[in-house]
Amino acid sequence: MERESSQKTQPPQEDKRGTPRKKIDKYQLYRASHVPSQGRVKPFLECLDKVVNHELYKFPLRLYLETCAKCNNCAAQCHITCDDQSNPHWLPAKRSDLLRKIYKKRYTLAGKLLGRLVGAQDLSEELVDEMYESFYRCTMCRRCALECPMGVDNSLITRIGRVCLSAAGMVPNNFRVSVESQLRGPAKNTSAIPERAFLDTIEFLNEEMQEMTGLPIEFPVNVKGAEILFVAPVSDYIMEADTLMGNAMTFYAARENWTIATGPGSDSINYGLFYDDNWLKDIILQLHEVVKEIGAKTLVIGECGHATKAQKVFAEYFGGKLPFQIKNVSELTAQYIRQGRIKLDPSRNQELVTLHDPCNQSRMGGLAETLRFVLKSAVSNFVEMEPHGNENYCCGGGGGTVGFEEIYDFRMEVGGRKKVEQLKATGAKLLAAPCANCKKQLRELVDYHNLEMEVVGIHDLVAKALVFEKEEPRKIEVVK
Amino acid sequence: MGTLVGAVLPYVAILFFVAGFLYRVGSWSRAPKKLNWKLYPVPEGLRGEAAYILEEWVSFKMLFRHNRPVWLGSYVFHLSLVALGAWFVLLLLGASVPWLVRLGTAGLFLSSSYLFLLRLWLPQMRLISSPVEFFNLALFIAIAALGWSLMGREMGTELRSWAISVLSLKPLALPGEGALIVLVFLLEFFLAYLPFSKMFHAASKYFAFHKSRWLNPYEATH
Repeated sequence: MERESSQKTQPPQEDKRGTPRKKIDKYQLYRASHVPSQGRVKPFLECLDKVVNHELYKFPLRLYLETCAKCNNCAAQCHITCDDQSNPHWLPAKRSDLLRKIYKKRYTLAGKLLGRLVGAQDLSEELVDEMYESFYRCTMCRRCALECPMGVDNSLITRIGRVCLSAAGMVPNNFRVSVESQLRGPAKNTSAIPERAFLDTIEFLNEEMQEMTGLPIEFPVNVKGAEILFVAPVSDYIMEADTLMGNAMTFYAARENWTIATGPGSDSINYGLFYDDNWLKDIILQLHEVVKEIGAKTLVIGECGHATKAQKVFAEYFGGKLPFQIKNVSELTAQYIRQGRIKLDPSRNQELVTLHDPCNQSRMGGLAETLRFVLKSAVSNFVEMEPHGNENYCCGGGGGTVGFEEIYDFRMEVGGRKKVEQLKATGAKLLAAPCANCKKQLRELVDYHNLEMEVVGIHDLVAKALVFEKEEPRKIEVVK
Repeated sequence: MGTLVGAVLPYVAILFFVAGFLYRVGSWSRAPKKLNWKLYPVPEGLRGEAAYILEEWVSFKMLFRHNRPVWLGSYVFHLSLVALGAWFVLLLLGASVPWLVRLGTAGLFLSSSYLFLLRLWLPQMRLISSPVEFFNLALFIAIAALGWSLMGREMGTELRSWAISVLSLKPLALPGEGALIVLVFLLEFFLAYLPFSKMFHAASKYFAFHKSRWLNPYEATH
């Protein structure tokens, strides 16, 4: 299947410090968005009132807003500001201050009495614009929180900022359209793929797998009573055929009793995670209904960081005690390898491979070792990028920002710069990134910066390394 | 003035400190903890967590790794506070260690001044600072400067008698020295102000790490 690649390839121009020469417009995102320009202060504050007293956020949010020591340690860890702190709009502490000053003015005695002397300020329409721009530049990767001496987590502040902006009607269009399609559209998925087209794609993938392996491998669809319901981000069915086939082939090799589902069960994406708890909850529960209907014991999320996080972090809060487990697909594959249920021949993948840790899986999901275990079991030449694991840099497209074409320049020249440096240093030919969001950003970076590297999923490589019991000669090309 | 600052305000300051401490720590303790906001690596068990925090306390490694100029000021600043605290406890116990108070005071003055100037000088630090950040540092600069000006006047004994009188609830007025009265007043102000300020991180860090970053409230249910 042809991979979509960006047409906007152009050589980057950098000065000696690696600072982009292209001027990034301060209000690039805001100007390009169809969002209201007035009447936003009241709904924003009404939402903030609810959030600061909400049982979920009251404790961490207040703690983070009240205890920042302004040491600027966050800026040195952020992939956007680690090398260049000249743009005040991108400094993590400055960004969090946008919400912090409103909080101080509204909820603290010192802020009410002393105002700007203690960094407190009333919310204005202008400030709402600044927040919209700033909170959608942060990818919420939480690297800055990793070594904050105070333990402050700017990503939560960014997230709450986005939640309040959403209440004021300030939502990037692609979020709005995708969530609308997933919850209210006929297709019930973010890409609005009709069921017929979805099933055609499945059929095509089945044929491909059978042609490749000579084995009757297929995607079981809507099988009631299956142990496992596998839900990939639906965009994988358009963009990541190799990853999906790798997933199906792994389940087949492990003799797993599994199924995929149509309708709302076809898509694990949850953009609500990035900006609105109401949608977050609805999308989580919509998927849980499908799991219960199928009767699956485990909900397995495909190669997708934020979808894994949305379910693992919020499923129990919104869904109560669940009658099923939630796993990321790499966890399951690791389990199969450890149990000897699948056999991998790493010599079938001989090209030098590196791993990009999706922030939502490694730093936030504790899966750094699991991802490495699976990948290293499937390839014979592996190189780490530095830093890696929990300390890995964001691809520059996290927090849903990869979907914003409006800030493409920013993602390529600023947000992704550190990642490109890391990639170049590895000398790898293959870049495994087990996350749909990261894959898109990384492919765009590879194109834009002319890197000689192919972006793949972990399961693309697992598929090539899988040794089936009754295997016929593989018709896939073994990469050497 | 000596009576007000020496015999009345110490209790007001202690009252504010205790009330502020209970209010702040109480509100953090009581607040529901329902968000599973784990961030890895998560140290194993309480022992692992203690080791992690201890290493950070001893070395300030996070600042050391990422922001060396701030680390230098911050590290000396906190060490100076420890030195002064130790000197005061030793004084109460009857041991006079004049070099410790000199070291602590000099360190406090130099580090606070350095951090103040750094915050003013570096554009990115200036951008994230509000007047209160400078005020906090200025408070320490003033305390250290006054302390230094009183150095060498053999006040240890008088200060000890006064502190013990306050602690045994039979407060004496402060000896008539103007600078000493201002110094003690500033220290009392600091004590009352501390739990309400952002400088209360000795307590907040426990909650930020142990009760937020390393906590999955749902884990017990698995």
